[in-house]
Amino acid sequence: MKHPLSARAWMHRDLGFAALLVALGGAGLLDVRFGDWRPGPGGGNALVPAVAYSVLLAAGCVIALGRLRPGWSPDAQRLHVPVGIVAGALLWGGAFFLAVRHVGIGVSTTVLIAGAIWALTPPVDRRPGLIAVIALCSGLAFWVVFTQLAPILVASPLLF
Amino acid sequence: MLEFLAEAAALAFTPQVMLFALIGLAIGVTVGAIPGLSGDMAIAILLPLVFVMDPVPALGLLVGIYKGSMFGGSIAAITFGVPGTAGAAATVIDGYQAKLNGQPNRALHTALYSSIIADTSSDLVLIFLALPLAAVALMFGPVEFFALYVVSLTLVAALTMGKVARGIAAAALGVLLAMIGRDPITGGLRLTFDIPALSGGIGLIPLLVGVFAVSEIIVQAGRAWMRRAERTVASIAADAEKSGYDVAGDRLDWRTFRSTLRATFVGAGMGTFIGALPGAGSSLAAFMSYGIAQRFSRRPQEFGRGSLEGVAAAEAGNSATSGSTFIPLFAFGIPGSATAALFGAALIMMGITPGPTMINDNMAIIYALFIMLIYANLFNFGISKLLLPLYSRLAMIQPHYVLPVVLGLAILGTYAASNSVKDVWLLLAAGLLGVGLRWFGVPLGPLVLGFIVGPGLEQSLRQALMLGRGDWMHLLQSPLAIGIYLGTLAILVVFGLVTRRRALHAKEA
Repeated sequence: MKHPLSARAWMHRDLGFAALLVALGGAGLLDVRFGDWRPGPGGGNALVPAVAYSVLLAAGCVIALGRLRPGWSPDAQRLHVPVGIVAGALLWGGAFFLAVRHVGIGVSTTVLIAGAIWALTPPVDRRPGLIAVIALCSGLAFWVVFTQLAPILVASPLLF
Repeated sequence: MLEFLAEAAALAFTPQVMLFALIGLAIGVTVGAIPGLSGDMAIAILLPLVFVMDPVPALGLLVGIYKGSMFGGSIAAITFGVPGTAGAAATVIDGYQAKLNGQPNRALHTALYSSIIADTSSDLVLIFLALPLAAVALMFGPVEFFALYVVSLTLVAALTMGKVARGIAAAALGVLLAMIGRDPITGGLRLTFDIPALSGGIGLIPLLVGVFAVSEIIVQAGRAWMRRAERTVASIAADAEKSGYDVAGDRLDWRTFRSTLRATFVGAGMGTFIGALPGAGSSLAAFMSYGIAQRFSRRPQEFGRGSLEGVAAAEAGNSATSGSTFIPLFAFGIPGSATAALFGAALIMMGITPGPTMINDNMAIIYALFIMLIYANLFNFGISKLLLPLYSRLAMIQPHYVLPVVLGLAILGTYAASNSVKDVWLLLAAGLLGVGLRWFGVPLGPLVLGFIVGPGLEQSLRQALMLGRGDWMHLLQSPLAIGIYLGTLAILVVFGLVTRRRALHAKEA
């Protein structure tokens, strides 16, 4: 979701990102200098990582300096994603995969997709019949694709 | 040559391949028309299925999705004022205004015709330019290839409008991700943090699908959760129904269409040129075409008020990138855009390595691909002309009904490609990384390009340094490499001047 953000919040986010880049670049360069890297022909295996870390460090400095410059103005809009949705989507993804492997493709797909659509649909717009049809069709399609057309390896699941 | 063409035609014109191209078009138009979904996302999710398909039908499917989504994006842009894809953002300016002026049919038909014309001309440029460029690339050594890799990464970052430092950081991050695992020259492990699962490196599919598709699904899920998109679409749709609409007066006649041809050709030329530059993208092409077409128009004052020329220029600029975006991939093995990266990944999965020898080594398949690029345009034209009145309804599909299905498909598709549990966790991690980068306003294209060209860049740099006995000046001793650097510098200067001039104009306005 994009929404207007105050200039200060925008600047904090940018400075945070710049600090992250500088920290990553700096730590990486220290690791290249003191870590366990194998020297070899053409600069060894640390050459390109060292260049990439240097670029990250420089980019972080440029972003930070750009934001601290007088007269800088933020973009009008920024991306905003609720943390709960990010965590929920990743947990749902992990649960879906585990369920497919242990319960079965058809059942897991139908139940979890129905649940996800139900959760994402505003209560006033929920149409149980439509959600059930979409979930059942998805379950059937997934079962056909991933057991018949491009079979995936699953240890004997409980259901189908 | 004729022998290969006949073989390619025999491959491309089988009923199975044509059916897959049609299915791809249907999927492409649908995902392009639904705001939030995109052709790139669909291609990324279907990539694992390429494993179980023959190369030519698989390419037909991907080409269909790509072509369909290019036009699909303009349907939502014109009908609801919400660009279905990033490339259709410029189409909104005049397309939606034309619709509000009671000319949705004219605007949609103008978009369709200019899109097909520009797309086909761009494909022809690809067909006639890729082979000679690939022949030139055969003369390249490590120094020249290193120059090409550096230049493409620089261009991708520099042409990411207003986000140069972020683009460069993303490219460096992509290169670092590509370095995880075994060093190809010494065989030593690096950047694995003692995690055994990382010793094999990060796979292309989990990274591409995670960064492009999973992160977009999460962002769209957030949008659905907040209900903003629903309200927008619903209110716009309601407004459209309330206004009076004269069906008979909203037909695109030849005279009106002819008046948009100049803008179409401007867009086709500009889009083809910009599409061939790594990282420039269809959105930039569409906006630049729009601006230049306005300058060349006899009625520039109508731009922004529902001008069909504006629709034609934006749509032609957007679609004309579709063929030329493959030129760096086919000639040099360097994907210049996210779509080209996805096609490059698909080719790799089919056992075809993108690069200067790719066309010669796989003449029949690549020429079949060229034929499919052309006939997919004709299919798109025929089907879209027939189904245009129905297409607008596609944009009404609420994303929350589709997102869980797409995420499930991404997860199982990635697992199906390698049957590796590790890849599924990497996919979700890449999705989280994609969301994080978007949150910080970092473009994802340079990250993926850095990841794909990273190994080649490292190999060419280390080989060049070995040839030069460790002397970095050896990288500047090839006239071809110097030419590549100077050419890029010239492009950057021209783009810098044009962008500055546009910014000044905008300020004055």
